[in-house]
Amino acid sequence: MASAGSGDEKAAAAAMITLISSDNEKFEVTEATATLSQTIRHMIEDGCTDGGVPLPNVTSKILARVIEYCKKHATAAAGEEGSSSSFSDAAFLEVDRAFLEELEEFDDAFLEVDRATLFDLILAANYLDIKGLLNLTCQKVADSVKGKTPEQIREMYNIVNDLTPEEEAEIRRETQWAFE
Amino acid sequence: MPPPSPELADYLLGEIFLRLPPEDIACLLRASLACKRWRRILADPAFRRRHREIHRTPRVLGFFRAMSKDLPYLSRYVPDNPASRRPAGCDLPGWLVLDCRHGRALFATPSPSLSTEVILDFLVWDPLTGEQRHLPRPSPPPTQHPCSAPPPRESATTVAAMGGHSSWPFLFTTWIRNSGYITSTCVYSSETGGWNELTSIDNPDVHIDDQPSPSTLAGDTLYFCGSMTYTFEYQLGAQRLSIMDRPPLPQQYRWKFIFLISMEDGRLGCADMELEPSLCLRLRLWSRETAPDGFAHWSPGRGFEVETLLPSGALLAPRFTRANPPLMPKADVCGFAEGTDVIFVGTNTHIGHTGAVYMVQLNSGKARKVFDGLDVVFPYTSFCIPVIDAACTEGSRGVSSA
Repeated sequence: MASAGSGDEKAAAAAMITLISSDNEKFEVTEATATLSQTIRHMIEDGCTDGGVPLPNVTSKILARVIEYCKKHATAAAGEEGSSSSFSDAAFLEVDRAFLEELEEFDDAFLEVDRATLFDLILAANYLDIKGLLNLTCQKVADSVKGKTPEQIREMYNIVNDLTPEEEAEIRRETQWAFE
Repeated sequence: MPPPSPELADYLLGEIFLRLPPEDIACLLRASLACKRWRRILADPAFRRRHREIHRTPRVLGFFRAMSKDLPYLSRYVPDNPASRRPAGCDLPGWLVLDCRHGRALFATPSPSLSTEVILDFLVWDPLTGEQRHLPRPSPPPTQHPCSAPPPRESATTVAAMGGHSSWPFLFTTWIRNSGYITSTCVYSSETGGWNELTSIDNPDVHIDDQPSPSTLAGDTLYFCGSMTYTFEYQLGAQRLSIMDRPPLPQQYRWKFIFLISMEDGRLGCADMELEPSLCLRLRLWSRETAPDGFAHWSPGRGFEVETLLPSGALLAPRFTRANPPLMPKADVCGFAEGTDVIFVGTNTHIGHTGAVYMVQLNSGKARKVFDGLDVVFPYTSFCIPVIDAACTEGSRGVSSA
């Protein structure tokens, strides 16, 4: 029975979850990938993932992107755990840094999407409760607002200015320094 | 025309706004002008509370110092980043800096008068917006004896502080009547635009330290250095003034200036320099602790070796000459930025060696020289979040109660 432990690990590593998008497309993912989502993690813990996990709020196009993110970051988490025991400290730090850089590059490329997709990713990250993805996507929007005038922000995000000209003039007068 | 974006819930827009750079508050103000909805979210108290929780540690953007403490006064703002344009470095001729807190600095200047008594006027300045507010004169008006002269009887010393938690802080002024030392405080409320009643304490032995030094706000209480080993404390909420002991310092430091600070957990603390028998100079932090029986005492905390804290060569090695006593390494705490780990340490002068003031981050150990000489500094930190008034978007303006 000496192999029981490793057998369990293998079983866990092999455990697959089926995610079903709103347009009924099925995605097979490992449990390690799926559990980056707290929502799915809770469903697995409650044992209600048999027959697949329906995600009526997420389209297949967005779900594919979300899974791409989770796969990469799940590998990152596993890589960190594995490498700490098999490398000396210095080598580990070196690998760690290279890996973090690679992950950053991945995230940057991942965020090269149009605004509608970015907002869909925010909604999906919020619904699936994936903290890292929510942080990444919200930060991307915040960065795009940085240094922009109210006019530029409205144009970028299709916002209708519903402040009356008087209201806007008054606010601008009170906080004129912010618009210089 | 970009494709229409899906609608984000208020909560998610809030998540985005929380990630705008906290030190660039103009960014939040510009976003608040995009539309009524964005403005309402940014003005929402729940959002503002979260913003304060997340961006709890303010950044030291620069500091004020008094270039001339004798008439004519001159104060200077020095930005941490010399390229900073807002606020940019500048001089304020005619005004003496007294304190700086919550994004605003407080200055005093003598009012033009033919009287022999010097009556002070006060100015509150927001370096970020450039807004200046001259405060009305309280009654009786605050007066000042010349800094260098010993206080004659019946004269007064005024020190002042920025305090309070509201967006427009209170002004705190202390009068000392020299006839047996009566110390009084009077608080200016930005909300009512007036001064409250005097609160006084009568102690023949204790008066306020008349050298301009920053006050300390810990929790709801403002602290001022008093004479000798005492400290004044004023509870802003309860409007209660009292006197407390300073830490029990070694005998040779009993009369020495110590620096009150607020600890990370909001309690009162102080910073002091100890010269150990090995001639190692150590910066020691103390905290004020309350025992279960309600009795408060000072307890020594973390210590930092000053020589390793400062850039190499900043602190003079002890010198044993024929002079008696020998020259010992000396340093003083000159400023502390509340809510941060930034402390300003000045090296004292020996003959033929001008001291300098260093800005030190205690946790990271980073230190750099900010100016030559030795003087108290009033750090200026980023202040949470700009006031955004959602009232105009809701169709009704808040009515302030009398």
